[in-house]
Amino acid sequence: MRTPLGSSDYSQYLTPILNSGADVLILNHYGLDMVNSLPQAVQFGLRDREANGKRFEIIVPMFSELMAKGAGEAVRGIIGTSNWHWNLQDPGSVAFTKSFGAEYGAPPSQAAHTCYVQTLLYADAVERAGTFYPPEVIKALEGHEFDGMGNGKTLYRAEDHQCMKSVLVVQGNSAPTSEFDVLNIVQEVGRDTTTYDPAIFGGELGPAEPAPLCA
Amino acid sequence: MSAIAMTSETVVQTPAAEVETSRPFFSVRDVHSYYGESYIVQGVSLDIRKGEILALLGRNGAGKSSTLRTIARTDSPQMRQGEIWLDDQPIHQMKSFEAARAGIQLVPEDRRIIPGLTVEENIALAKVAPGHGWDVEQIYESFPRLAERRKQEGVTLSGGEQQMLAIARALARDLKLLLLDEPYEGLAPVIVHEIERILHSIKPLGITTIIVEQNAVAALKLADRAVILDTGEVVFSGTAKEVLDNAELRHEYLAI
Amino acid sequence: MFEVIFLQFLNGLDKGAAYALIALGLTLVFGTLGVVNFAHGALFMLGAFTAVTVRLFLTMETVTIDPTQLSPWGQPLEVREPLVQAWLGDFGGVLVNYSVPVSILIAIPIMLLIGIALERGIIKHFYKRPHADQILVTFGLAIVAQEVIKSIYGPNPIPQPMPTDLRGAADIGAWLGMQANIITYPIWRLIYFLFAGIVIGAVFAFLQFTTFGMVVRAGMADRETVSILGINIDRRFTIMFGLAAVVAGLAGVMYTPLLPPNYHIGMDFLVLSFVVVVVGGMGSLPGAVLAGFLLGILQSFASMNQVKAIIPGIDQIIIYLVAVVILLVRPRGLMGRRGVMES
Ligand SMILES: Nc1ncnc2c1ncn2[C@@H]1O[C@H](COP(=O)(O)OP(=O)(O)OP(=O)(O)O)[C@@H](O)[C@H]1O
Ligand SMILES: [Mg+2]
Repeated sequence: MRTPLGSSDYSQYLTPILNSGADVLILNHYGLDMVNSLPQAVQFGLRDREANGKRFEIIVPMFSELMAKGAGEAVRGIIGTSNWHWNLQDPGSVAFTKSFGAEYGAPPSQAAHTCYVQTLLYADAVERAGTFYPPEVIKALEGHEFDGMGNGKTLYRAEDHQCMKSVLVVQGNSAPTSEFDVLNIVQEVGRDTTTYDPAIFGGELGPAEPAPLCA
Repeated sequence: MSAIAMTSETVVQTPAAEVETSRPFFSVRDVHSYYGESYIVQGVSLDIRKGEILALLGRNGAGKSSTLRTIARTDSPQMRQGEIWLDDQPIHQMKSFEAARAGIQLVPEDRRIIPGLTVEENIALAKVAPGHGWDVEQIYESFPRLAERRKQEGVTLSGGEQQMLAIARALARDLKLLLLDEPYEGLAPVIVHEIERILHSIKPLGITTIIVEQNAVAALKLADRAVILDTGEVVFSGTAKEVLDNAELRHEYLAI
Repeated sequence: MFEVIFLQFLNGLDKGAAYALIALGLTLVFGTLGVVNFAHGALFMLGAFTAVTVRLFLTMETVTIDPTQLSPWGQPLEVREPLVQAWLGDFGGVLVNYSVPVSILIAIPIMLLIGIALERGIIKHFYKRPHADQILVTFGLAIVAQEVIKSIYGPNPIPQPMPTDLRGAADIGAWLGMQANIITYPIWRLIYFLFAGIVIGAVFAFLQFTTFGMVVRAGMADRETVSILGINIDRRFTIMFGLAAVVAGLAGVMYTPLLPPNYHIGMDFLVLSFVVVVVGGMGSLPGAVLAGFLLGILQSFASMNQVKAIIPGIDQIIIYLVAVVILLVRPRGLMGRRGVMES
């Protein structure tokens, strides 16, 4: 079921799912769209429904704390995947959570983690390339493997520029103890499982040279 | 300007015995009104004694309706200069709803029966604001045609019935000055007679009235005095009989 | 297949009720004051934030800091105690649970005041100006209201839980004697539908059966004549603006459990409700309601995969398509009167 983005009411796309025979709804919305559509899906009874003799499941492929907060109680029990979570116990994650919390009085979201890590990685790549010139920075990142950023050994694959790392399966917390305690880690899925053949999506990467600036 | 044109001040002959206040019952003093920038009422003055009926005459476009609307203080035309006094109340300082509460009732040219409202509701509307005149039973007694059609939507009435309703609406208010704009317009002769009868029947009530009418003869039968307008100015003021007797005057300003 | 069509129809009625409710308020303002009110969406938003505020007050907590314990992010642990429950016991809990319905009672006087203040304070001065000026000033008001709300409540949506008893879906199929779990629909959406119906009915009854309503109808049809009969129609129209604000605000309050409100919530509805008003006919109250339901139902059916398979993307343009067709065939809209915005 395709939906437009930026809508506020997704109900007309949810009713056809009710009797469609599907047993999983993969709600591939992000940000405000997910904040709007997930509670609506839950209100339509999709979280507590049975289909084909099994429990009907709603899956959110890109879950984040901010979205979970906006969707409120609708996230309880909903399963999804996420990049990172402040409750990870590796030393890098613990240190980041502590210093972020000291600065802002709240644990970092996965988006905050992404921004921080990407900034470090870019700085590192520029240093290794010895230039800001994008084609050189790109080369420095292609096939680059690193660790200590909270996702285990991580690879920027050269073939398709995708980031290969472990991914978290998270679930909306049914009994949150604070406003930040919205998602629980269910499982950490290792990089060997998440890595896929680059040929599946394929495609051209395009030129590395920046477009000429207008004079 | 012809010899018969006189200013209003020269013709108002107030009997000495009645001079109690300096002002007549109703008085319009040098009123100027505009539709946007077009200058329509160009310094009209008139005075009416209590209970008098004045015929306001003139050719099409002379400014008769505009004068009545100015007196009723409608938003257009906009009055930019002059004074209007009714029974010592400064009407020129009022908005139209205040003028209505002060006792002015305009029965407009096109009757303006409110669409979507029944006959009954059209009358009830006149009784919403403070200052009530005839009660509903009295109205239905005098206008049996309206009584029969009280649940009908007002705008579905015939032209004559709509005119009766418009007059009835005015009588439902506490009236000091009645402004009738072409009450006979567009009506068949039989209906004209009926409306005429109604107006003659309320004449003894002594309601001070200004009647504007294309049918000058009919208006003059009803009126005590007459004022003739031309291009927004008063060109004659005198008794009704003077107009009826003066063929030259009728020919020049009334085309009859 | 029947249940699929039935559900889609029900959904259309549900959407339509929301559209009709907003378009009704917009038409009340346009029909009386002649102003195209772009701040109407903001009034919806202010209603929604009345609910947010009420809930904030009801869920106030005392915060004590326990310095002996640290949170995982290294801050002293906060211990929170709900205040209202501490004061009122179980009744406090009921109040918190029913915060959205409670907000309705509080939103009525607040929205009435906001509406009257807006009309008397600002909009009044624009009656004799061109429509373009009116649109600019009301749109400006909407932006100001949004920014004020954003600066107080932040940009993120704030979820408003519905009462626990009213969560989940009702089995309508079972009520109608069908198999269980075939036709289910969220209880709150059914309530919203009923609520919209009641508000629309109440507005119509008010206009139809009260003297005040008669005067307002008369004023909508012929303002000048009503004034000539001694009625201060401006004052009544001010109250109608307040009433329109109440209608918009209540629509906003009741919508919060369906859509977590943020400062922008009204804008999503504004464009849509203008389309509804234009399709229904500017200034026509029955037209607004009819067009609201019509467009809601059409949009719902256009979103089905079976329909989209025939005309891809139809779900996103159907409303505008219908608006274009209706305006070509009936330039005054479904129930528009002559002479409205035509002089
Ligand atoms: N709303 C208006 N806007 C601009 N000009 C107007 C308006 N109404 C009337 N006029 C103009 O004002 C002048 C006087 O009009 P008014 O209706 O007062 O005349 P009248 O004496 O009542 O004529 P009639 O006997 O045809 O009813 C006319 O030239 C008319 O064109
Ligand atoms: Mg005229």
